[in-house]
Amino acid sequence: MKRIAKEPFLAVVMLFIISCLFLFVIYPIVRVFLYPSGKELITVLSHPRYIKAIFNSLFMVVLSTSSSAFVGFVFAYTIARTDVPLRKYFKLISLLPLFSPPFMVAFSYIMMFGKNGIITAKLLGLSVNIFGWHGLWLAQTIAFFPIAALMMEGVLQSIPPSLEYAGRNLGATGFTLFKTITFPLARPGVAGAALLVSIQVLADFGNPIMISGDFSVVATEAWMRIEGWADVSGAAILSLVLLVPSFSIFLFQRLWVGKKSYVTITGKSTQIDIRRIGSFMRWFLFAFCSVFSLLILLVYLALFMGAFVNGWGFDWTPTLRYVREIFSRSTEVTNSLVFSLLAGGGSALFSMVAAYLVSRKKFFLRRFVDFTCILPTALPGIFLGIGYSIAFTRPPVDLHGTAAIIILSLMFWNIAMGYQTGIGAFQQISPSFHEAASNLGASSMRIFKEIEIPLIKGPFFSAFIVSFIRAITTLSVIVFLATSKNVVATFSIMNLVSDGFYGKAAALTCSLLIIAFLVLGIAKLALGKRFELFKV
Amino acid sequence: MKKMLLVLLVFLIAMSAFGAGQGETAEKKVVIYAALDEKTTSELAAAFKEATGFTAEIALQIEQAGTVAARIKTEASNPRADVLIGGNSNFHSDLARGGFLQKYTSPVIKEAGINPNLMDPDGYWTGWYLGALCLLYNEKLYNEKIKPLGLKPPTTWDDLLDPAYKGRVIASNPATTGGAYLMMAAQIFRLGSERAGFDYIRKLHPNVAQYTKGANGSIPLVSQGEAIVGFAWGHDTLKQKMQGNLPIVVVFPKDTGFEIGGASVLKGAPHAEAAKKFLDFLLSPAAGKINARNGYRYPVRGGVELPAGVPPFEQVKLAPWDLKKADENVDKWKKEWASITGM
Repeated sequence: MKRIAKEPFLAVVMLFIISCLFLFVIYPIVRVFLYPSGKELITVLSHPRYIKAIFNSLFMVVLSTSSSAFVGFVFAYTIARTDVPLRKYFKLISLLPLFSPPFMVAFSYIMMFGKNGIITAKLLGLSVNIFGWHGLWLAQTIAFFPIAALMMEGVLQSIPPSLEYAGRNLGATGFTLFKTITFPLARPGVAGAALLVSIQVLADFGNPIMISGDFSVVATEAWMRIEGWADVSGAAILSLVLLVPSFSIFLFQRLWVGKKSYVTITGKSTQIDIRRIGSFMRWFLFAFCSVFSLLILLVYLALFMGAFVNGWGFDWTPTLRYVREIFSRSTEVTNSLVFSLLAGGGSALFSMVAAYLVSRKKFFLRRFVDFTCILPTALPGIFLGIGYSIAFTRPPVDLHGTAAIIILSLMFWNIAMGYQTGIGAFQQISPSFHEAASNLGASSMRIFKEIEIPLIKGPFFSAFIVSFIRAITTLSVIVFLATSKNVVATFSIMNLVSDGFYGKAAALTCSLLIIAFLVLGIAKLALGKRFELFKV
Repeated sequence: MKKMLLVLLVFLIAMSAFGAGQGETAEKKVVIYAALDEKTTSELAAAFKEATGFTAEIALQIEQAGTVAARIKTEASNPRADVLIGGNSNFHSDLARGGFLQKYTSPVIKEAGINPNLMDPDGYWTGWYLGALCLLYNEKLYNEKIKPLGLKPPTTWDDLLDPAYKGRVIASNPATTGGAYLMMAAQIFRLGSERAGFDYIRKLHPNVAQYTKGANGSIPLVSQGEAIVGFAWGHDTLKQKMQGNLPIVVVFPKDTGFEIGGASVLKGAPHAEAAKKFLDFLLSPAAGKINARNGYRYPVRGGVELPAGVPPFEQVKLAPWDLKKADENVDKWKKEWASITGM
C-alpha cells in the first residue's frame, strides 16, 4: 500500500482497471440476473424439456471434451515432439476450425455427411442421418480440438527435452518414455486445456442449432427462447443455468489445476534432437492426423463450394453471383474488420495491464480482478449480449446503435484468453529482474516499460489475434446489440440464412474467413518466431 | 506503461465519442424495427418516404420476430423505435400484455373495408398481411421413392400420415418457436377439437424425421433431400423457392392454418404520430403490393396484385381460426404436444 501511495499513476491505473471490470463485466451480468422474476425461475427449472436439455448439455460436455482433448493431444504431441512427416501442414490445417462463423460451418457438415451428402451418399452410397448427438459430437470435436491442441503444444514445448533425453539414455524407449516422463509432465496442462474446452462446449450454440436435430442442449434452448418466443426472462434463466456447470469447471480449474503446474520455463530451449519415435507409432500418428486434417479440409471445402455453386445440395452449376454480392455488403465486412481489430487490440491491451497488476502487485481487490478477468469465458455470448442491451441502452451510459457497444462487448467478452496468456507470460519472467531494477530505484512504470514490455510482446499479439478471431466470428454476443448503424457480417449471415440465401451466406462466411486468415498471416510475417498462438 | 495506458484511455474516449452526438430531434421521421426480409423492408421505407415525405429509418431488420420483440423488451426503458412491423400477431399480443405497446386503430381499416376480425380485439396491433401454412415436397425424391408405390403427390394433411413417409417428414417444434405453435394449433382448429388435433399429431409422429427448432426449418432440409416432405409458412416457402430455384413443390392443402402479420406502435415511441402514419401506410394498396411482390404475403386489403405462382387468397381454404384460444392455451397445448412426441 505504501508503494502505491508513492506512485499515484499506478493507483490511477488500478482504479481504471477495477472500474472498467465493474462497469463492463459485473454490471451487465447483474442486470441479467435481476431480469427474471423468481416465479419464472421456478417455472423454467421445473420444465421437463429444460431438465432434459441440462442433462444433454452435460452429456455433450463429457463426450466432446474427452474427444477434443484426445485429438488435441495427439496433434500437439505430433507437432511438438515428433518427426512425423507433414506435421507443419497438420498444424496449419488445425488452425482452420478456430474460424467458425455461425451456421455455415455446421451447414457444410450436412452437405458432406447428410442423407444426401457428397461423402456419405454420393461417394459411399450410405444413407446416414447426421442429425442428433452423434453429428453434434463430430462437429464439436472438430470445432474445439484445435484450441486444446494449441494449448497443449505450448505445454509440451515447455517440457525440457533434456528430461526425455536422460530417460532415453537410461534405456527407456518409445511408449515407456511417453508414459513415465512426457505425459506426467504434461498432465496439468492437458487438464487445463480440457477444462477450457469444456466451458466452450457448454456455451456452444452454433453447432447444435444446425445439426443436433431433436437433441436439445441448454445453449440452443436459451437462444430459441428469444428467437422463437421473444422470452427474454426464459433465455436469461437458461443462461444462468448454464453458468452453474461452467462456473464449477472454472473454479475447479483455478483451484486444482492452476496450482499444479510442474512446468518451468527457462526461456532458453535446449536444442537436443528428441524427434525419434518408433516407426509404428510414427505412422499411426501420421494416419491419425491425416484423417482429421482431411475431415477439416472437406468441411471447409464444402463451405467454399457453397459460395461458388448455384444451389447448395441440389444444383452444382458454378456461379460467381454470390461472390459479387459480397461487394454490396462491404459496410458489414468493413465494420466486422474494424470492430474486431479494435476489440482485439483493446482486449489484449486491457488484459495485459490487468495481468501485470495481478502478477506483480499486491493491492486491494486483486483477487476480484483475477476472478473477473476470467469470468467472461464462462458466459454464453447471448448472456453478455442481453446484459449489454439492458445496461447500456439507457442513460447514463447510452450506447444504443453505436460501434462502441459492439466493440466493448466483444472486447470484454474476450479478455479471459489474453489475461490467461498474460499471467502465464509474467510468471515466466523471473521476478528477480524486477526486484533488482526496483532496488536500483526504478519506478514501476520504468520497470514495466524497459523489462516487461519487451518480454511480453509475443503473448500480447497472441492475445490480440485470438480475441480478434473470436470477435469477428461471433454472432451470439452482437445479436442483441447490432442495428442498421453498426451492423456486422455475422449478423448479415444470420439474416441471409433465415432468408434462405445460403449461397450468399456461404460467400460472406468465406470472405470473413479470408480476412481472418490475412490478419493472421500479417501478424505472423510481422512477428516471425515471436508470434505464438495460445502458448500457456 | 504510461504509453500503454494513454493508448487505452484514448481508445475509450474515442469509443464514447462514437456514442455521443446521437441526440434525436423531432424531425419528420419514423424509426422502424422490422421482422421482415431485407428487400420488403427497404422498399416499404422508400415508398413511405415518397408517399408522405417522412423519412423511414430502418434501425433493425431481423427475419425472426422473436429476436426483434426481445430487443424491444430489453430496450424498453429508453425506446428508440416507433413501430414494430412483421411477425405473427401472437408476438404483438405478447408485447401488448407486457405493456410495451400503445393502442392505435387505423382509420384506413374502416375506409377501405378491411375485415376487422384481422385486427387486435384489444386495439394494440394492426393486422396487415396474412400467411397460410403450406406443404412442400422434394420433387426428385417423390418421383424416386413415393411415386413407384402408387401414391399421388401430397396435397392434404392426411397424406402425410401414409406409412410410406415414415421418417421422411420434417415438422417443427412448438416448444422452441411460436410459429411452430401456430402450425400445431392449426391442426386443432382444422379438425374441430383438441382431441382430434392431438390425435393427428400422434399419428404423424412416427413419420417425423425431425422437429426443427425454427418454424421454416423444413425448407432447406427438404430441398437438400434430408427428407421428402414438410410443412412451413407458404409465403416464406414460395419466396425461397423462387429466389433460390429450389427443387420443391409448394401445395396449399385445403383447410390449412394461417398467421396474421402484425404491426404496432411502441409505448414511448419518440415519433408516435409518424408511427401511426406508417401503420396507415401499411394498409395502403402500394404497401400491400410491395409486401406481396417481395415477401409473397397476402395483404389484408383486397384487390392487390399478387406475384406469379401465388394462388389467389380466395382459393386457399382456411380452417376456422380462434386466435384468442390459441393464445390462451399456449402452456397447456405445448405440454400435451410434449407428452405425445416425447420432446
